[in-house]
Amino acid sequence: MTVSSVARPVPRPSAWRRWRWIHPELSVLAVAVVTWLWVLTLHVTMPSHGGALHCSMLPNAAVHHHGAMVQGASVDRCVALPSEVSDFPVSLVLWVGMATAMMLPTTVPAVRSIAMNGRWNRRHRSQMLFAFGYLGVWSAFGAVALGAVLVLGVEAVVAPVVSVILATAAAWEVTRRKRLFLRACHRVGSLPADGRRADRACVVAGVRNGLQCTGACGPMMVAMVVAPHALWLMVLLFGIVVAEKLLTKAVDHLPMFAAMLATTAVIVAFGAPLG
Amino acid sequence: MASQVAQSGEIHTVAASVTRVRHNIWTLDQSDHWHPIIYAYARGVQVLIDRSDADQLDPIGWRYQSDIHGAAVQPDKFRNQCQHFSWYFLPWHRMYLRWFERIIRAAIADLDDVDAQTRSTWALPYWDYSSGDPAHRRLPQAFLDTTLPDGATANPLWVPGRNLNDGSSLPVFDVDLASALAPVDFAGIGGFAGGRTGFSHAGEDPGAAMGPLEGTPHGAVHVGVGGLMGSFNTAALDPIFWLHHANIDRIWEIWRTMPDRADSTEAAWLTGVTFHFHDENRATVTETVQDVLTTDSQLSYRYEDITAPVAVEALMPTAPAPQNPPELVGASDRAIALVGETANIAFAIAPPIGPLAQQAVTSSRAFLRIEDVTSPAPVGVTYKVYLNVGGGAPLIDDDHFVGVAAFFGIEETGNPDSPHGGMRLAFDITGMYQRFNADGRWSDEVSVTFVPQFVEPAAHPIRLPGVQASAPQDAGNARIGRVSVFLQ
Repeated sequence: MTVSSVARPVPRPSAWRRWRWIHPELSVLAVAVVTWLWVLTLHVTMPSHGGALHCSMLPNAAVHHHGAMVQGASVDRCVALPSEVSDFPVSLVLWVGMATAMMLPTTVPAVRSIAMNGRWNRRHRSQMLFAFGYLGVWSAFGAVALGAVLVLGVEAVVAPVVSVILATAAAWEVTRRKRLFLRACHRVGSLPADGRRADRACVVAGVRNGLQCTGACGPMMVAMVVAPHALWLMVLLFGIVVAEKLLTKAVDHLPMFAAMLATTAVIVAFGAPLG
Repeated sequence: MASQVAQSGEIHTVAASVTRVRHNIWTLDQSDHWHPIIYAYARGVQVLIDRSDADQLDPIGWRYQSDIHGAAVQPDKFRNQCQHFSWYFLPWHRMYLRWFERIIRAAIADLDDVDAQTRSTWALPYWDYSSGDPAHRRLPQAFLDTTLPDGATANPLWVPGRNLNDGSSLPVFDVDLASALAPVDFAGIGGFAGGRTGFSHAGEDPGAAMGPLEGTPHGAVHVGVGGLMGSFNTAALDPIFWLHHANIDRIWEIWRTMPDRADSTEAAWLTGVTFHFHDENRATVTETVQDVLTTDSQLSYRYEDITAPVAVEALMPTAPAPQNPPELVGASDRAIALVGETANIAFAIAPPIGPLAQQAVTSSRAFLRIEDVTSPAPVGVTYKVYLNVGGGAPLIDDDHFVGVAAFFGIEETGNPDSPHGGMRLAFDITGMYQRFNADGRWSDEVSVTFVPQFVEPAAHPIRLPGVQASAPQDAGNARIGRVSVFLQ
């Protein structure tokens, strides 16, 4: 019996329909795009200030901005870079937004694999559960890093600190541990097909992938904790993490990425704007 | 034919040569198991071994040539580069063989005990184990002799540790070409060459698996021969490796001659990844897939025989690939261990609810997938896979036979420095699915049975003393993470 004798001809589905069939990851990409727009909007509308000191973020944050007068209000501190405990929750929300914009697109191969290898009615659910676990790890990472910033009070020496962080991240790029983390975060196993076990497995897979990803890209992302308003740096680091996560042979190019980070560290040290 | 060769920043061209014929080693063996072409190969191998003894990093030495395929670390862009579980499997190995063949040819050019005609026409033979003759599933005699024809010089074609050194034969199912040649599509799940990989993980086939040819006979023969051949990092140290891969390359040529089959024209495959080798002068060479598509016009060789088995042609499916992606309809919810004994796992399946249901069409393709297979060490046996439906005791017969699962390279899944995660195999079970459906036997429960296959012992085993004796076949311990059924 041949295949053609069983399958009857059917009208060709529309291109959009076929596109949605084979690209379930579009929902995750859409979330990332919306988050990018939000972050960009905040950067564009933020009141800026000289040197490393500036503040973007929430409208009501503008009134707390380093003593500068913004929109008629007195701005005495930047909530994206917490200098007081009360800033911390807002800083964390802003960090999660930035991490979502920068890191979620790098999960496209993983969420696509999970969606395509799971039950059809779970395609989006599985992706979102994975993203929840993944971003949960990045949120925890941000909480720890912001806490460290709060404790250490680096606001007055942002540029040197960012420069040192980027130099450290450059050195991390060429370590074996980095290579292993990067290889590990390219792998996603098969998950249970249905039920709560599938839900749990999706979250666990997201957490595991997030841990591997923070191991691979965490050092460079610390720079964004200290300099959250440096849009150019955000775009540059986004390009590097996307390349590392999406290029199949990215491991072979780690020295090149290290050189890019080292060069950036020098540029920052010589006074590149971080706000 | 011309290739760009870069050496010390300089580009020059390797001259074209006449088309040579890669012969079936059994044709040569029939006249003399030390036919001049086979003898020249043995002598060439020894030259390469001597080079490695002098300098382990000599790029045209035996060790380095093996390291190109697999090495414990990835020291540069030349070594540890083998492409497996990927649509680059076939072209990369073609490039690999091509440069190795030139290195051997250059090596024998200076040997006095190789005659002038052999030197001028020498090409790598291929090991055709699928001809149907049971004797051809043994190693050729030149690979079983421990000495060269002089009776005193050690034979470099003989290496210890193989399962077949005592004259045993590969299991017949391990060399069957039916599954390998059946696909019409070149790439993708169930495609001839395997899943799309490379350049961008985002552009890969989700759940990409190796192509059926890479599984059987390729992987199955690696596992069946055993010893050095059984692991990525040592396989190319066994001289039979190169004849085995010449045969795999030949099967690609057979597939290309069959109706409705053609290589991919996707740019990602043709030019997406550049591979690096050394030529016979130690000059570095870069190639992409588009450089190695036609053996005669681009690479100056052809095979003695690329006739497709008639029985395979009769099995050809004719339906074009559906527009909808494969849809998971059921999967096991626990792992299963394979330890050299029969193992079975059952799970429920449900009707499709995606595009097939939305369009109210019958599935035109069905796949059984074995996913996330891991092991820290080689798995030394292959497994026959059977699928049963509807509960009851699983039947192990031709009606329920799916294919052979071979796990060559599985030890890499335990290596954190390896790009490979758990191994994934995909079997096209469209024919079985339709047959069971037509008979009203398809059900909401399937069971998958794995039956180990060991090599077939020789009637009169070759008994060698001490360390030369064949090692017992080690089944190892593989863990299968998930078994699943997809409909498309």
